[in-house]
Amino acid sequence: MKRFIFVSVVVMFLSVSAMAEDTTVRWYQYQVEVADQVNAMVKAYAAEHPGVKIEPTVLGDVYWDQLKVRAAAVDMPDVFMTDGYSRIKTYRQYALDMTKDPLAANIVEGAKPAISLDGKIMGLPAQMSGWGVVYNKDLFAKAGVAIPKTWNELIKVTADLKSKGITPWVNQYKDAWLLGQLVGTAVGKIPNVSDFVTKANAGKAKLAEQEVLKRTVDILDLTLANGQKNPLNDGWNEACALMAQGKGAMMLEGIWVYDTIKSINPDAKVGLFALPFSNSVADTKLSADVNGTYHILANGKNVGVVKDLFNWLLNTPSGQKFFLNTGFIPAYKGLPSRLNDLGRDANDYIQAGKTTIWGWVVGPPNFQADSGTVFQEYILGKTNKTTVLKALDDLWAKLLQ
Amino acid sequence: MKTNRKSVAVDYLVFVAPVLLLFSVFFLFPFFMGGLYSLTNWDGVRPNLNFVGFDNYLSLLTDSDYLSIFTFTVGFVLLNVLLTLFSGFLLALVLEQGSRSNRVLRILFFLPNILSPLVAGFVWTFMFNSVLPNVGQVLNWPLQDIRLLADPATAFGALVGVSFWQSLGYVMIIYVAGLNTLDKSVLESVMLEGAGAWTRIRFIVLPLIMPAITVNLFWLLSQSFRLFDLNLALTGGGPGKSTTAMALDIYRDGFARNQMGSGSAKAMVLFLLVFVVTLVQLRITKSREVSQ
Repeated sequence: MKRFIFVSVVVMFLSVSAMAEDTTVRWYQYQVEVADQVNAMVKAYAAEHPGVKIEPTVLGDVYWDQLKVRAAAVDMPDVFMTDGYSRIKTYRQYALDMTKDPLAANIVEGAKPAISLDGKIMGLPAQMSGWGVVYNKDLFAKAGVAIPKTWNELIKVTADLKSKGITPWVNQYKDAWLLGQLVGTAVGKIPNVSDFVTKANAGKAKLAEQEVLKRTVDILDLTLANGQKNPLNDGWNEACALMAQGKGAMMLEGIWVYDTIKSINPDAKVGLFALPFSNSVADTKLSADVNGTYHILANGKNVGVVKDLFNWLLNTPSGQKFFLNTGFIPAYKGLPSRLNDLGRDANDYIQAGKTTIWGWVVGPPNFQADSGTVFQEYILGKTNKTTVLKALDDLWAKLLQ
Repeated sequence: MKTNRKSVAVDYLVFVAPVLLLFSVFFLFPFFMGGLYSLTNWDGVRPNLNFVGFDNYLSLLTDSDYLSIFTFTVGFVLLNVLLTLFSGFLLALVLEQGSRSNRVLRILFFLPNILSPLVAGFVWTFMFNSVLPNVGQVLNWPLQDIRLLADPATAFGALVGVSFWQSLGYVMIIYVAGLNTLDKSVLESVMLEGAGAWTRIRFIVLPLIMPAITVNLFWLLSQSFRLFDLNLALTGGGPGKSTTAMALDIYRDGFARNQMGSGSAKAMVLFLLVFVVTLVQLRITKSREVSQ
């Protein structure tokens, strides 16, 4: 009897305290474009789970600064995001080890390099994403050209488009990050890339010695010689406008340009193919990787609640709506998806396992933007075909300091 | 009765304490922490850091990127300050009279100053990239192929231009305020003595509005050295690194490259530079101020 009273008092106490105090889960989301979907998800979860409140903070470019500030203030949110790889190293002490967790069981193979650190799975990927050549299907049909699968075919397609009076390339080279993605795509194609990164960090391997990097400069030259005037003037908005209006047939970009292009011209028909670096069809793989990964705050007081939340997201129909609404390419086996034309093309490569990692995230901090700047200086004529690659190696070393 | 010095000091302290406390917490403390970080290799996130002495400062001396960023910034400051200081004065002379149309014009010239530099940067990017070429197309002027932000030299010009457009109104208002305090009878009497317009400006107006020049020069110098928002929004420091000013570089070191130590060192250098330059400027211009 005593025991019964004790237990019921404890139960009462627990239920009273649970009623009195809602659990608040602070959710830090990178990528402002999914703000509406995150808010819808928060509402849906609140409706099904009284007592748990998700408090989302959705940020764009300032996200990384904010995350840094939160870490410095010892006030990390319960759920936060990184882009994986070296960024996980920076935040490793805050990320919960998910290696043995059932939530991580269905993660697709192609997502694993990004979220692993020393053989442990440190996060739950939000989505896969792809980068390559976005092309205008109507212009390709008009010129009677097919998707190029090798480097020589890419040159041929460029020439064929030009001979039909179509500007082959739209160059978005005001954006250093975009050029950094070109550099990074090449880095991702270096054979045994993680080994290369380790050696490069020790100063024992050079980008300038890699065939793919040399080819990258050829690709840049090809686009420059066959693109619009003043490529350094045009950033995201200008380039997407040119693509949408059919003023160019191809651009180096990722699937994320879809909405911008469609908002300028709803009738534009676009697709995506892998940028060929060599003349082997088997080598032509899409640059695809995890685009943002969630981390559960280790040692946080809400670990259990947050795991329930992710279980709801991944394994219940009402939670999975989040992935349908965002149009994310699933990073989990069996997760439903609702994809646009670019997403579908990318997903085909991802399903077939024909992908290479995003090399721009395995370099030292800010390698993406700064390597893009190095390529901009090549476009300005400050470096030549040989010295531009040496400048990349110098940059790598400098950023490691 | 003997004044109790001690109690006076205590009184002062009581009045000053609230502000002093806030100033210490929000200005002095971060400043000294910045100085401290500049002697470390802190990445801005991890709790562990090592002291590296003056390595961060010494490596700046051999960093060719930093040198070009430094020269760019100094060039920008020189051009921007001289241009705005001079034009603002001319504009103020023209708009000094308080007629109704002049008052409206003064407001119009001041308006750009209300805009945030970020907004101004985005608006002008749009102007340079879309409006200008389209105007060229309609009027059949050869403007279609001009892309100011694509070339280092014209991007520099665009940066100075937009910055000038933004700060001109502010500088003008300070000058107008200075001109309005001038004793008109002095000007009238020298006019009767037969002094021409140039003589009046050179020997009467300029010395008497020296306080306005002091304020404007100080404001312009510190503003130009700390150029950041406009830099980020208009050119993003590009093409290449050609238009990266010191503040943008500091921000990128600290927040993008995870090199808070090096960024802090650069911030201390920028602080010293602004401090010394404005101090010298204040000394010089103050010594030339005369009272009526």
